[in-house]
Amino acid sequence: MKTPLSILLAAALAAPAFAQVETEPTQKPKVTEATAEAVEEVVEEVAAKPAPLEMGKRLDGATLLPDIDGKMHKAKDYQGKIVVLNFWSTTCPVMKGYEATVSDLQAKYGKEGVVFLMVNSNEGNGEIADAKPANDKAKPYQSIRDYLKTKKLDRTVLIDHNCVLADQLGAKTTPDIFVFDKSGRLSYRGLIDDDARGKKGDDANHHLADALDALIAGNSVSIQKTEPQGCSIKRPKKAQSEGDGENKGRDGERRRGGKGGRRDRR
Amino acid sequence: MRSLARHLLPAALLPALLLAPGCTTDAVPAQAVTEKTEAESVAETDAAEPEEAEPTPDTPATAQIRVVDFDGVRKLLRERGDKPLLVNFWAMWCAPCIGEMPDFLAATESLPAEGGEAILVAMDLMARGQELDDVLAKLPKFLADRGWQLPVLVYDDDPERLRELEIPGLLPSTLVVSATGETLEVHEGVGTRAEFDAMVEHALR
Repeated sequence: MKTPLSILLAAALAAPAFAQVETEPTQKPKVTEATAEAVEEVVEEVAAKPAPLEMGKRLDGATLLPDIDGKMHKAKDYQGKIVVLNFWSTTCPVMKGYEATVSDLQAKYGKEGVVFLMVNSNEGNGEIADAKPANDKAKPYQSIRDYLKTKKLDRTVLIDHNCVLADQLGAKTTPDIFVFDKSGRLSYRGLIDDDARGKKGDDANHHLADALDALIAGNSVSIQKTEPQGCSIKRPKKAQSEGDGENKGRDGERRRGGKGGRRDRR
Repeated sequence: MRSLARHLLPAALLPALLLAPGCTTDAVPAQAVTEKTEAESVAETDAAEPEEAEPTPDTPATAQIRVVDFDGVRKLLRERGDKPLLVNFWAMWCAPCIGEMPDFLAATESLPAEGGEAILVAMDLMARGQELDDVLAKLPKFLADRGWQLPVLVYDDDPERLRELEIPGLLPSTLVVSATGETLEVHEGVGTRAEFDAMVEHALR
């Protein structure tokens, strides 16, 4: 019961653009009154924890996001290339603090064929609310354009409405880094480096650069996971949720632990 | 850590700190809030006066602000004395943190009277380009404007190291810690009033 329903719900929650073959519902599950409560809990769990992509796994090739100009970027378009997905924000000081580093990495590793894609999932924080141009002459996502122009940043910015990709990957923060190798397998996730304050000098660990060096050399990445740090990516409100949009399937009265953003330690 | 309130620096003393040329002069009164001295003073206090009486309940007109290092946060979480704790990690630049704060404050309002403690840890310095002096200059007014009266610890140390204490890397986050210094609950991201109420109950259980 639980698994097929989860799959069904995952498909229902996914935006049409992210149609995934294996998650399309094939039949409607029968729900009795006796199981109604259990079903409700499953609904919460699905909303709270879409199992994030595991290390070494690929995104569905059909996974795609539009950039700020409306051009679609499909996962399979990048086959054969090392790809860095950088969950990104124009308002988060932690991310802003890393822009110079990202520019340096992009310049250095871009020459090696590494693709850097910024992903803005911050609909919940209102950052990508200007999808519709303010007037005939304006362009969509003007705030992002202004940010890039002011800071003289060369970035490809993808728009992740409803945090669909953020949920697929389990992205938590800006920044939060996901590196895919040439065969599309998730090879690194987490920090750009372990020096958010920029004060460690030679003692800093440059996790992203190390991962890219390894992949370019054809080696496996030694440190594949670090715990991301930054501003939380606030999930937009789901239609049925009374919560604050943290995508935890919360009902405000739930007391059980282990779900959503809550790790109960009892 | 039961004498924590005693070590808190009233916001009114901050101008003295800001006038100090640096953090290395022992003669500067505001030295009391720098990391090293704070850690030492807490250690001394714990060793010398383990049976010290409870400080008088906090009825601050203005929020109390103190600068802490990693060890200061470790002590806050792990050396509880006899008080359970709700601690919220936030920053002045974090809009969702500010958004949830009224709910956190309302939920924790009665916690001190019930034998617990609520405290805010300002993580403003976890981003590049943020300076302690600026944060300390802005914080008192920021708190006063909003009427937030909980004690605030300004974290001035390695943010990545906080993972050692199971403190999440994202803002906002809230921890429930038992009187014995055990982390009971870790809440990542924005919380609701009902969730904070539940955390208070959990802390006092």
